[in-house]
Amino acid sequence: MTADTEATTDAAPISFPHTRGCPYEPPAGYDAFKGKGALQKVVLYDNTISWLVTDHALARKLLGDTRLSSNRTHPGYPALSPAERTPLPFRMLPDMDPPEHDIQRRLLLPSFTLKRARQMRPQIEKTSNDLLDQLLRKQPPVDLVSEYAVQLPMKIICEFLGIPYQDHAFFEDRGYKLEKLESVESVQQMIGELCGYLDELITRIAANPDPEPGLLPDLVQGPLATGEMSRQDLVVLSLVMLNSGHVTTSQMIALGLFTLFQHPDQLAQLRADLNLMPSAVEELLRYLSIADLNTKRVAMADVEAIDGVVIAEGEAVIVPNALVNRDPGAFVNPDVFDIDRTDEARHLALGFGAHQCIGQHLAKVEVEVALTGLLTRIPTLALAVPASEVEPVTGGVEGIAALPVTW
Amino acid sequence: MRVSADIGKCVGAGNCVMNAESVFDQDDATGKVVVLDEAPPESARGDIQAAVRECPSGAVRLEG
Repeated sequence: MTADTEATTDAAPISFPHTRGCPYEPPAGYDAFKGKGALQKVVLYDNTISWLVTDHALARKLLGDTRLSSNRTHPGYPALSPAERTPLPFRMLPDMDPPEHDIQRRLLLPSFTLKRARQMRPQIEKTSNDLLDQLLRKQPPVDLVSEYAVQLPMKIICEFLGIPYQDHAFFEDRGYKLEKLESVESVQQMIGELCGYLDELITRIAANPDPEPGLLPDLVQGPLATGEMSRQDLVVLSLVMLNSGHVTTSQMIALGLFTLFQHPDQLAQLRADLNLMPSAVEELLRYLSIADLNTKRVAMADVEAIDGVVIAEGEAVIVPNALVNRDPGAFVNPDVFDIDRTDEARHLALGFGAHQCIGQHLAKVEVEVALTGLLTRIPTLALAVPASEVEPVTGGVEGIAALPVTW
Repeated sequence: MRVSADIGKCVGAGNCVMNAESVFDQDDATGKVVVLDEAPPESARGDIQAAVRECPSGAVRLEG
């Protein structure tokens, strides 16, 4: 550490992370970072020190800097719990650096274009409508999380990847346990079971001359068959796409609806003009920042972050989405939920740089369709319990466990 | 006004298409950026500037 960095961080580092009280607001503890500089130091559970980025522009700059690595097995990489240090026999796409990362990502890119996501809209609308038909046959109150928000993305990702939906209870259970990052043993067990399932599925697909359509069969018949991708890489990649494809999207739908309920003026504006839906989804992404703690790096070289402040080689960097997406330097009234924002800055909820979420377009279409379906088909949809009873779940992704609704 | 793209840098995020659909597309076979209009009309400047700003890999450029 240089004398300059000490000058900017003379106060004792604050501990990190913090948990949310209100599911759609950042932890109250984040207030302590406000107005204290773009780059601060925090102390983690294992008493290691990490840089914390609070500034939107600096976050963009650092996430585009290839000297910052995503390699979670590097001893300097910040871990927020022992489970995040779980040793694994392979690397996952989000943990890779170029060129390894780019080679794998390139194989997936054609399937994740904006055009492809838009082409899937009718199919997503049909799935949403079918689920709403089922929902409306029930006697309210019903739990919107389990009856709709979890099911829609799960059905879509299964169809998209070519994974049998009838097995969803198995990988939903393991997927959610994995995302909770409870312990090293739990992470290893869940990953082991999911990889075992996917490995068997790949064997079945490879043996089937006419498999169901989907990205996984495409990858089996393409890069796996030609040797461009190893079997282990394909298994791990499938696991990443499957889990990333449903956990976050489900919470964007469930927590998104709850947030709209809690901002009745915004909900009324959206109902009156559904053309605002894409902008509302962008604002939900910014305001909720549900993958708050997913963006972490370790410096592979000394990097001058801001004038006179160097992130030294081997030092840890955390970019909490809920801080940078509410940076008053980037967003006007950042703590106000406004579905019709005109800020030039865009949120970093889906990351920035080489690791920007590859499924972002598909996820956005899903959330748009999911919320549009709810608002148009159930005009009287409302929360069935006091808002204070809707509790946050914590873990890898911020969200809510249940959302009782009535109509 | 001249628009160009560096395929080598492109990570296929599609942010350029999201911001300036009349100027950018993604190649069906690779997912990477395709410049549809290298000399777009002045009216597209704001959208292209947003596309340049939001490109996560610095692959798209606007000159002039």
